[in-house]
Amino acid sequence: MIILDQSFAALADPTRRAIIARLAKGEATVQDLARPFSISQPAISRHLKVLEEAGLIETRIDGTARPRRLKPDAVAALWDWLGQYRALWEMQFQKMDAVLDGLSDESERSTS
Amino acid sequence: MNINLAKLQLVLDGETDIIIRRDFTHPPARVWRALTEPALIQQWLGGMKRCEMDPRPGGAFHYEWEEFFFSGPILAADALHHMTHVEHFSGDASYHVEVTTDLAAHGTGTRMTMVMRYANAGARAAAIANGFTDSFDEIYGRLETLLTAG
Repeated sequence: MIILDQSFAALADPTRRAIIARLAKGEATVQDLARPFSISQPAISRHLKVLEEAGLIETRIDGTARPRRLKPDAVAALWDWLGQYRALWEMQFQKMDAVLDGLSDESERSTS
Repeated sequence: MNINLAKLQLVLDGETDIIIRRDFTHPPARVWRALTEPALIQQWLGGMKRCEMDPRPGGAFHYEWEEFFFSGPILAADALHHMTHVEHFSGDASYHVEVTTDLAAHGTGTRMTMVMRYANAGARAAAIANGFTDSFDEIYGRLETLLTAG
């Protein structure tokens, strides 16, 4: 049975996934994060709160700045989910299988 | 689409490596062709606007899609069995992954082992997070299907 835990639920939202993708490149402030999106900083802050409560990101205190960053443990947690990511690789290799299946006839013709 | 993962292993090794092992039902000579002939590579990678591969030591590859490309030098190649190449992302040399691909006869088929070595633990973590989020829509779609079916 698959349990929809908090992290999974947090990543069900495309904006939050985009925020995670941005933070994978390095820490960022709310202003940095709001820039590429057509939504307000308060809206971004709400998304950040959900991600933080899910344990995916954390806040660093730097003077008056509050940059957010991915939690190292969260990356490990994502990796646990990557059983699903394996499925993507497998899909790619299945496309390769199909190419290989197509090749056999041709190879046999050329060697006969 | 039914995904059977029995033929695929994917593990993290040490601080910097991702290792993928996949079995194919075809012999190494054919798998090598699918991995190195541009006309074939394009068939299974899909959607490319440019595909070049010169699988010799000193050669290079360039795989380009509409919005990005991977390219880099071939460091070592032993036709049909082994290749080591470096991947840069869209010309950014600071993105540096060394990929070693080995093909071994396995029964009547082939066992492929790919080792992707990142510059450091952080680079690997970023690559995982990026790859994960990039592909998340697809993964999520599939999970929803699973959940619905369950």
